[in-house]
Amino acid sequence: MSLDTKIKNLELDLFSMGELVIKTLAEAVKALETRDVELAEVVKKKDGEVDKAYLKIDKDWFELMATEQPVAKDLRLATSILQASLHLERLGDLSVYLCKTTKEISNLPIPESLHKIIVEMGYMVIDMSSEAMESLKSKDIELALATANKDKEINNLYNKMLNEVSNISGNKDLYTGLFRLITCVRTLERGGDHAVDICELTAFLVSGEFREF
Amino acid sequence: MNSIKDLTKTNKEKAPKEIIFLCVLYLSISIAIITLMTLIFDILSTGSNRLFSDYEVGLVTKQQINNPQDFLTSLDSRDPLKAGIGPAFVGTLWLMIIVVFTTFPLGTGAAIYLEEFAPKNKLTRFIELNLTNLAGVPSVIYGLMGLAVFVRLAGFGRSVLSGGLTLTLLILPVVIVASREALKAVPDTIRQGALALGATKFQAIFRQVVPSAIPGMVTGMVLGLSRAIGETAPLIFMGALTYVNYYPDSPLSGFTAIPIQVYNWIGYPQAEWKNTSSAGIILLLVMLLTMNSIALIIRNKFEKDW
Amino acid sequence: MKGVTLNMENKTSSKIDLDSVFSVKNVSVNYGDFVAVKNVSMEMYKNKITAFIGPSGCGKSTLIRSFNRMNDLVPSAKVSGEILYQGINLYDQNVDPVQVRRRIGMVFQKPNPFPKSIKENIAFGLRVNNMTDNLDDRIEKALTQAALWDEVKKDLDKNALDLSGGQQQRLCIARTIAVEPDTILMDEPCSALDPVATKKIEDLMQLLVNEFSILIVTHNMHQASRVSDYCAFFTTKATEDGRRTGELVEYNDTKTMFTNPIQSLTEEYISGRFG
Repeated sequence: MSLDTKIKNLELDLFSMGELVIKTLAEAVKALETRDVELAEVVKKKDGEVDKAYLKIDKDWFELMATEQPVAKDLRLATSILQASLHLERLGDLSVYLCKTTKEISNLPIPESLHKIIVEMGYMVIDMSSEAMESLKSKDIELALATANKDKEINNLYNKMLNEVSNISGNKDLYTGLFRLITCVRTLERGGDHAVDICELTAFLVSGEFREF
Repeated sequence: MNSIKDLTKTNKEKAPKEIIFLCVLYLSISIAIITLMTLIFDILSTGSNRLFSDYEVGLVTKQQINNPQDFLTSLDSRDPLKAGIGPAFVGTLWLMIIVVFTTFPLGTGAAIYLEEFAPKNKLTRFIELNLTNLAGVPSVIYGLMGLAVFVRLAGFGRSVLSGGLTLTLLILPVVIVASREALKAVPDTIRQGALALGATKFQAIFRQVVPSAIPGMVTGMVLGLSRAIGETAPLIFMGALTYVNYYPDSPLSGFTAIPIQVYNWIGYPQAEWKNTSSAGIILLLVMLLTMNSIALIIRNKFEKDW
Repeated sequence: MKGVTLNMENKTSSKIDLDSVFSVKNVSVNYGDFVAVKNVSMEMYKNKITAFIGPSGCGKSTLIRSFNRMNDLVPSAKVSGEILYQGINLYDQNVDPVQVRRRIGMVFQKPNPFPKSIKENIAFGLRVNNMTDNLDDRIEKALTQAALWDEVKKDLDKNALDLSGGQQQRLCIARTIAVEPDTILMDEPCSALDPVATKKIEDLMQLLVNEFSILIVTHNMHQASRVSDYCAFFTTKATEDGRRTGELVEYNDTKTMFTNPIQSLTEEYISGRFG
């Protein structure tokens, strides 16, 4: 296989992984929206496929680097593909988290207004992700810029959520604090995941094999 | 369709042709070798009588015990039993010395000039073409030229010097061509390597290229020399003597050489002369073989794997 | 020359603040009426490795050979334009090509040691340059600099042709640096060597560049990307009469050249999609 074919295949793999991730994410948001625990259960299981796609790209990229030593545009493309696949894998994890949340809140009293906001955010993320992948696919820097700008709207929704939570509670300061803490806790929890990822890299470095811890 | 089994199948159709062809080849080489061996055997058997064994005269008397030394050191004689090759041997040595001391500087000098310095123009090409032609000129022509130029014009007389110079002219084209080949065989990268170090063209040629070519030049020289000592015709034409009963003691002495002596002896009617001339041929063969071996040894020893 | 800005027809981008060794201005090299390479203008810098890359026949070897006047050996070769070496026009009438070659050494494609001992190989250059004081010390120093001393110190009298290809090439580098040039030109120095020997020569270049300016012609793009600081890409273009002439396409620092070249032709060549 020539360098051209290898890198084209890698690109195709990335975009099909992108489609898979975005479709899964859409279903996860749908499950959250309709509070459909069964659907959530089904969607959650799809994460395995995402991980598989990610590992394949990772492996092919590694082989490409070892055998073809791409330079210039090829090097930039290969690097973008690897990094994009990593981000897609994270987006896949996001779907799993949404499904878990759908289950966890199914028997809890969630105010309709908050539920609306979170679903809206979900769709916004789907929208942005698919546009981002589209910009990468068509190498459209305008679209990439426009998409990146939409992040502001997501930030706005986050703040709206914070306001809603503290307003509903009646104890604005306490709930603002609690909300901040909870998001912080979630961020730290993700930090642990990143550390695990680095540990996986250690294993790869030593043994030469990709392995999920 | 070829199958993998074809690999193990012997192709029997071709075999007879191959065998016939090989037989033809063996036959050609055997004819050449057998002829040569017969000649050598004949020479050795007739010549060894004069060199080593008791020499029989008539049917009964053993008259004289010979040894190689006698043959090498004796003067020529009217008596085949006493005739030795001494003066001719020394004459040939004189010729060799003169040829070496004139051919080597002239031959290598001309070769170095033509190969390294001469401009690549029509004149150079003309000279090159003529050199090749000269190498093919019959040797008697050189004899005539030696007679005209060295014997008469230069006034050296019918001396060993005239003879040596004539042989020099004869082998010079061969030696120049061989020396040029030796220089050509030195890769251009050697010249470039020397020049790139800041050597002048002169330094590059005389300190790197020529020393690397010396073994090849010497080989060419030795082969030329061995051709020279076997030559008879040009020496006879320029007037070498046939009966010499003294050793040449200066370049201007009259002389004879081994091949002339042999040629002379073999013309006499008595049967014993046949043994004597064969002994002379053996000596010539030994000298030629020695020189060719020297050339071979030099070539093998200094042959470079560039 | 300080603060040179490279900007020739947008072929280069970087602004550089370095000492220049070679300043090439509109140089063309002809063999008879055949133009091997034309209109090259570029600066090369002191204590840097500059690599010339490009397909066969693009004139990179021709050009490097005009930098130490080795082209003089080809009677029909003619260099036009200016090659300034530390400010002096190498093709000026008063310039002695022998002195030029002494200051600008050259290592060739195929290792070409003289068929003599290791010691004599280095002594030759020293002798022709009258540098025979402390001969043994100079020989040791050159061999040490060329990373060959430890391998050959016990048999300096051994014939150089008995060394391995890689050792022979390092010996050629040693004899070049023994005469203390300022610049070393290398014309595909590793093309006849195996990867291990190549690696040694490349490592050696990284050491030598502290003392010398190095110009290397290479067919191996990855070698150029590994060893060089600056990189010039040449290509051939068909002229009106159908013959091919070498041209400089892009000259840039190596990092830019191999990650984000300016010219699409460079991009195609270095990523192996040429032609």
